[in-house]
Amino acid sequence: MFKYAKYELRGTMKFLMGAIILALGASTGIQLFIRREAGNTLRYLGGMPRESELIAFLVVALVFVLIGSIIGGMVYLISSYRRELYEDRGYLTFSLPLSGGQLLGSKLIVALFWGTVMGISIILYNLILAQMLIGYNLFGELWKIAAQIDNFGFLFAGSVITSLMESAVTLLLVYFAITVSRVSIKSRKIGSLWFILFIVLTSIVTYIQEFIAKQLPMYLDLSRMEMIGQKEAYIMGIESQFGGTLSIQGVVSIPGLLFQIVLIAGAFIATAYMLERKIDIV
Amino acid sequence: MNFDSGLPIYIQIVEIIKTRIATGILKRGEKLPSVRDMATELKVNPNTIQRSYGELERENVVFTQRGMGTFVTEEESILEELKGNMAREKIISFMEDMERLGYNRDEIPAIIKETILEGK
Amino acid sequence: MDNIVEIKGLNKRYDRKEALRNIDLSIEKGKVVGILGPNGSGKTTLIKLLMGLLHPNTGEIRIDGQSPGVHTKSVISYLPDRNPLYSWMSVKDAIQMFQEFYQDFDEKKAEGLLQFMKLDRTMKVSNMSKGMKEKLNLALVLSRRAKVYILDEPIAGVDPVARDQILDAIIDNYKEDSAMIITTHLVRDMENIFDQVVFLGDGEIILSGEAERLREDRNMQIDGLYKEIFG
Repeated sequence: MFKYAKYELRGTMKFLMGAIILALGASTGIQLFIRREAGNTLRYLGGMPRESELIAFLVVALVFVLIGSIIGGMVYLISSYRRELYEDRGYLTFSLPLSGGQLLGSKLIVALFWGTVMGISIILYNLILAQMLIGYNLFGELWKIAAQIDNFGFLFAGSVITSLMESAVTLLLVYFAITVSRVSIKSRKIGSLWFILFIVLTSIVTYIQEFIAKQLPMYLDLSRMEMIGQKEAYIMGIESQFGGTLSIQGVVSIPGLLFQIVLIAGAFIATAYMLERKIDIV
Repeated sequence: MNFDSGLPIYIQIVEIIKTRIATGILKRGEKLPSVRDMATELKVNPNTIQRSYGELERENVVFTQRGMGTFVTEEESILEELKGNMAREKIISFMEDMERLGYNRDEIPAIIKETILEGK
Repeated sequence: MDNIVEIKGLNKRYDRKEALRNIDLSIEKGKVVGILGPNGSGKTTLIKLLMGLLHPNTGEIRIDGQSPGVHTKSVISYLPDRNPLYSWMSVKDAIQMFQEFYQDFDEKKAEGLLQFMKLDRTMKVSNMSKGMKEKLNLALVLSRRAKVYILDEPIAGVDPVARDQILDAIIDNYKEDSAMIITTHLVRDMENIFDQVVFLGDGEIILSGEAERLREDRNMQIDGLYKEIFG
């Protein structure tokens, strides 16, 4: 099934590995720079508690580098999908005995894979580097905090799954928008308006998801592994949070989740169908 | 290979093979190249070669042994006849060319004799 | 007498480009068919429709009994008129891909063809000249034991030496239970290998038939006939 994924992976490897290395290099530079500057400032100010220094480090380094590189990586992967539909390489890809679903699935899996690898490697690297530079047992502290949270395991698994699903939804909507533009518009330039279609779709989807979550109040509190109804959700202040899937308190809207699953399936099937039956490779 | 206009290729190939036999390039009883080899040599479709070999077999110039290949006939009489027919065709063609130059048939033997004597 | 390719009433419209009008065509196993016509006559469009790279407006296409799709792609070996291999690939990578995706890929044959074409396994596609890419693609395509081979302009834009090598490889590849469809506008170089020829002009079939028959009937080579039709 994922024969093609291997080739997609190899084709994107160079750029993505380069991006990761660049990101790690930038992180190192930023952390070292801040270390030096912060060190100077601290001496001048008479010192700050260790914890805040740590947080300053991480926030600056991580946020800049992480978001920047993941966006860069995703833009690259999305344009790789687009190129498949508009360039000569499509002759090979669409001549292979692959179903639309196999092709789409491969692209999706590889994109999710890179996103995950990028995210984890950059975050871990920054944490380890920060720990080395400051000499603070970061992992130990984090582990202590984690142990104190009820059902941390479920919360963690929950966040992982929901982020993957959110990413999948986003990616599939992008692929869907690109494919629709390709099928309906001949010109490549005008076809770049897929982005507008994507924005529209995302807004609609987000609205529907919130709507469903509100109308069918059935929540699962991951920290207690208990179901919550409308009253309690209102009290916890969850109701306004369901643009995404997981609230800050670790509560999941079950209907919202189901909607996402249906959405993923629908977008996947529709796009795969178009790839197989409607695309003209010119 | 560029073949002459007008005639189907398979017929032209038949002529080529006949010429090779008549001139001794292919000897009595010798195995002809395989269809494939011939096709590659002449740069034509193997089906065409097949057809040519079939035509040659129909004329008894060659014969096929299943699994072994196609061979030039062993029969001297056929080979002689082949040579004779080719010679005759050449002469007729020659005479037609001469006539186009303005000579008539009676004049031709004399000119031939003259040319041969000059050649010595 | 199986028709491995059947096309009935095929129509394809583009806003600007080549259209195809009412194409009917049947191709038997073991035949080498030449689709001849000038640039823009619809040859490549027809090929892409067979491959499922384009979808028809009306009409039916059947290859090995099925419409273009995953199965037909697995039984057709296709040489496009441009290089489709991914630029990051080496010869070795390309072979690996073919081996993985096509059951009918013959690695030994590929080795032989690569040697014949003097191509090195470690070479990268991005470093190859146009002629080398053409030869590589051809080597890959002919190394499959496919039911249908489709070669779109296999010798266009290639030097005479490479041209001969390519023609030799094509003739050598002839198989009794496969069909070969070759498009070209270089009729003179290729006409001797065709069993059947189809003249395509402005999206329509102007004339088609057995090559030898046409030579006999018209008393000229296919090249001459081509000049007559399109001259």
